[in-house]
Amino acid sequence: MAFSENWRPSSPADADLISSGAQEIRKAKTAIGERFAIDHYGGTTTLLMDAADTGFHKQVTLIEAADIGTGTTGYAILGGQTVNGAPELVYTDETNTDVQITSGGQLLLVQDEVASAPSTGLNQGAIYVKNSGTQTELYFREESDGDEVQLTANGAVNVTLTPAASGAEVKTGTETAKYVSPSTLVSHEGVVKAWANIDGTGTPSYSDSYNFTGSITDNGNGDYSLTIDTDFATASYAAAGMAKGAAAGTDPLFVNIEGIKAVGSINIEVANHDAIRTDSADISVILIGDR
Amino acid sequence: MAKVKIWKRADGGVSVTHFDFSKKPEDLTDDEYIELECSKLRLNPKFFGATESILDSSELPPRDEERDKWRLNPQGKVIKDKSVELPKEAKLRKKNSLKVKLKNSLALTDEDLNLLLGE
Repeated sequence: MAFSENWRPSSPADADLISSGAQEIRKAKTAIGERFAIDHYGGTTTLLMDAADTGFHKQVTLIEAADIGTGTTGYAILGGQTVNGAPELVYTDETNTDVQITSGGQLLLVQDEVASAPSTGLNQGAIYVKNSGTQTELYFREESDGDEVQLTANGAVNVTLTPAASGAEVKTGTETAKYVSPSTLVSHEGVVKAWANIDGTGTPSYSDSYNFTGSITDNGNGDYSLTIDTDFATASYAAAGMAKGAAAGTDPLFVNIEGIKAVGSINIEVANHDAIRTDSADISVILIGDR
Repeated sequence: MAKVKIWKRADGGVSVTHFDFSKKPEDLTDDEYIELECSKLRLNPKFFGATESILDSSELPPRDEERDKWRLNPQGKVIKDKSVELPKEAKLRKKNSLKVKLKNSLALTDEDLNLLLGE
């Protein structure tokens, strides 16, 4: 960094003219002000140094050093120490233990493994890394009773969930602490176990469905048998259905359960107000019950 | 075309099961899949006593409003049996018979009869 005024400890000399004293004092102020302003605030006009915050640090410039120093009792050192060819922020405690704080432009959060959890006292907690037995993981030790909590596991946050409710527990619906997984959700007694939307015209087919197999049996006009994928426990399940007529308000259709329901299949009839079975392009069926 | 299961039911009617082979498990053959699907239908009272056969869907008659007339002939083919009277046909036949009786007994014109019956 270039300064306009050199710092000359030997100037003025004893033999210099006393008339140049005022000029020498101004030069000295300028030299001090320029060096002061590197890391300190000196007001809007640095050399006046008359602002309210004058003298406060505006930054800290650390000179890179191969070793910032040796910590000794009663002193700690913060400096810019060369690590892998570049200056990094390093702290040295009084036992001369270096703690590297930055690395490659980021905060350095790397810690060396500890063999066991560090001790913690009142109002203290400790976050540290330790080998879990398979690899290095992040841990926290609390103050109250020294419990150790593993925070990471195999590259992910270590979350211990309460167990999932079993299908039987979901079915009864009285369990309050466990969570319901998608695979057992349908077990609840109040959940629809099967539904279908069917085009019964031409070759009958499912427009969409859940828990019906891919087959559909055409028994005649407006008469279909549907095969259930996962059977009901008993044939005492509830069934509901609707069907769309050819046009709104004309020849309304109703859906009837034909014959006896089976645990793995159901027969439905679509009929008009004259009880004449008829095909419909939009038949809806919903089944609810135990399984 | 695709294989379909033909059920000749105890009431004489014909049921046809259409399969969605895209849902067939990979480890099953077509026949094994058909058997798996039909095993559930055999527990359905509608199919108790039915005789079973396999046909290609291309062998079925066109499906229309007279689907209920389908029957299985002695050669095992599904045909439309025109001798079968559908419920709506029976109802129409009876209605027309009554109209004739009414018209003759009361000396009504067709116009009078239609007005009376709301037709």
